[in-house]
Amino acid sequence: MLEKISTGVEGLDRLTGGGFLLGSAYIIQGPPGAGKTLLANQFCFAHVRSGGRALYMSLLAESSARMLNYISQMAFFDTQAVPESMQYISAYGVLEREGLPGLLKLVQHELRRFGATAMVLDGTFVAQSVASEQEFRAFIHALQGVAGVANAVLVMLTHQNRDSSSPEHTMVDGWIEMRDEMFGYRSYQSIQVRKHRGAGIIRGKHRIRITEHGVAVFPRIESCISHAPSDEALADRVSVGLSELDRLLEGGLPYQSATLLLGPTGSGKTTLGMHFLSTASVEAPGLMLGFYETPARLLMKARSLNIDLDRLVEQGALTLMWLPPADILPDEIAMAVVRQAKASGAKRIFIDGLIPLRDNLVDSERMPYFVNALSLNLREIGATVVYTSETKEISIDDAVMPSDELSSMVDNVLLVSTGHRGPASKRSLSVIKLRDGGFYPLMQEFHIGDKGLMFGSENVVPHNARPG
Amino acid sequence: MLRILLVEDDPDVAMVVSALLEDAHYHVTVAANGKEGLDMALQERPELIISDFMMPILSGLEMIAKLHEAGYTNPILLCSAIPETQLPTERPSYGAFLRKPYSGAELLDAVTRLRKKANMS
Repeated sequence: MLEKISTGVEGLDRLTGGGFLLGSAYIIQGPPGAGKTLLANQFCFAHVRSGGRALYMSLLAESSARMLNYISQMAFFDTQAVPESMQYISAYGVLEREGLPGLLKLVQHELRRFGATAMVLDGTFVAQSVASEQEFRAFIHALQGVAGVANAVLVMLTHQNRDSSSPEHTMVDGWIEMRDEMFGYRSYQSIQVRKHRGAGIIRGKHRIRITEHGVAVFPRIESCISHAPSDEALADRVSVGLSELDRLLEGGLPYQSATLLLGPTGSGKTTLGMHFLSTASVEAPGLMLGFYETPARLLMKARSLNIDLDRLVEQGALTLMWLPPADILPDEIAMAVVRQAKASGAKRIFIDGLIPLRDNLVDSERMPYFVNALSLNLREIGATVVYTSETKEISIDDAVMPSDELSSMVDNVLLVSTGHRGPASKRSLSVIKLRDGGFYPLMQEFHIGDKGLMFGSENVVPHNARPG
Repeated sequence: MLRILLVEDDPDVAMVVSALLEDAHYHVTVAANGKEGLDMALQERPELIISDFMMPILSGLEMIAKLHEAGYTNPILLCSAIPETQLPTERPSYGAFLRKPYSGAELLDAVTRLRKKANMS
C-alpha cells in the first residue's frame, strides 16, 4: 500500500486522491504569482505539523530571507517550526559552481543531514538552464531515485511552460499546473492535476483563491459526485408555506427535491422563497443564500410582508448567508452552502439568484451540471432546495416555458409571468414541472400585499405592493 | 584593512553585502556554506566573520562550533531570517546576532559594535 501525505490544502488532497505519495517526485508548474511558493510552503508546514521535517531549497538568486519574511505573515506559518523542523537553504551557489552533479549530491546530503521527509526545490528551471536536455533528464531521474531512497516527497517548482511530452513531465510521479488567466477584466486562478500516479484523482481545472491563509482549492462540485443519493422518503411533501400553492402542488414540494423558480425581476420570487423559509423550525432548520438583499434588508422586507423570519433567526432555525454578486467563486460558495447546511442540519434551503453563480463560473456551460451537483449534495443531507433565476418578462397571455437549460437538471419548475388588467399589473404562477406529480395544471394569479404572497384571480395588486 | 569572511548561501545577499563592506573599506572573502566557511576561516584567519545560520552542508552554528574546537576566537556576527530566540538553545557562543533582512546601515553598525567589543582598531 502506497502511503500518502497531505498536500496541506484540503481541496488539493481531494484532487490528488489523498495527497502526495511518499518516495515520489512532483512538479508544480505555473507563472510567477500563480501561488507555487505559497502552496509549497503550505505543504511543508502541514507536513511539519503532522510530525515530519521539511527542507526548502532554493535555486533562485532571490533572497530566501525575503521569502521567509513574506511567508511568516501567512496564517499557516509556525514560528516554532523554523529551524527545528523546517529549514530554508539556498543551493544556487552549488549549482553555479558544480552544476547538476553537485546539486544532486547536495540534495542527497541535505535530506540525510536534516532527516527531511518533505523537500521543495524552488526554481527547477534554473537547473535546466545550466545543462543539456539529456543531463537534465538524468538529473530528474536521479532525483526520483533520491526521493524513493529517502522515502520523502520531493516537490520541484518551475515557472517554465513546458509541454506534456517534456522529459521531466514524463518521468515524475505527479505534475500539477497552476494558472492565472484573464477573462475580460477579471483574473481567474486555477489548478490542474495533469498527472498523478495512483488512483482517485479528479481531473480538469479547478479554481483557487489566495488569502492570508494560503492557497485554497475548490474542486468543481460536479466532479466530486461519485454516487447517487438514497431515494428514501422521496414520496413525502414539504410545504412551501402557502396553503394555496401547497394545494396546487398536491401537498407541497416533493421531499429532497430541487425546484427552479423562474420569473422576471420584481415578480415575487424572493417573497415566495421567504414563505418557503417561514415554515423552518429548530427541528428542520432553514438556510438562505442571497446575493442582492443583505440579511438586514431581507428581514425588513419579511417584516413588511408579515412573514416572521426574525423569530426563526433568533431561535437558530434560520441561517441567512449573503455575498456580493461580483467576483465570487461558485464552487467555494457551493462548498460553503453544503458545509453550513450540514452544520445546521438545514432541511429547506433557498438560493436566491442563480445568475451571479452562472456569471462567475467562467465556463457557463457548467451551469446545469453545477446546479445538479449542488442539489445532489444538498439532497444527500435531507434538504429540499428552491433556486430562483431571472427570466425576461413573460406575458400571462402567452406564458410558455422559456428555453432554459437548467430545467432538465431540477425536479420541479415554477414560472412567474406578469401582465396587466387595465391599469393594474398582475402576476401569475404556473407549475411547469413537478417530480412524481400530479399537479393542478393551471396558471394561478396572485398578488403581494401586507400578508405576503396571496392567491386568487380576483385579487389586484395594490399600489404599495413590494415586489420580490 | 580589516579582513572579513562572509559566509552566506544566498548569492544575492552575498553579492550585495560584500559590495557594501568593500565600500566601507573592509577586505571581504565569501564562502557559500558552513563547510566552505570553516575551511576558509581556518586557512585565512579573518579578523571577523559574518555568517548566515541556515545553510547547506554545515549550518552557521555547526561551523562556529567547529571553529571553536579548532581554536578560532575572533568575533563572529551571526545573521538569520528567524529571531535569535528560536535558535537551538544548545548553541556555541558568538559575538552578536543580526536579524535578516537587514539594512546596510544596520549591518555596518553591527560590525562596528562588534569590533569595539573585541577592541579592534
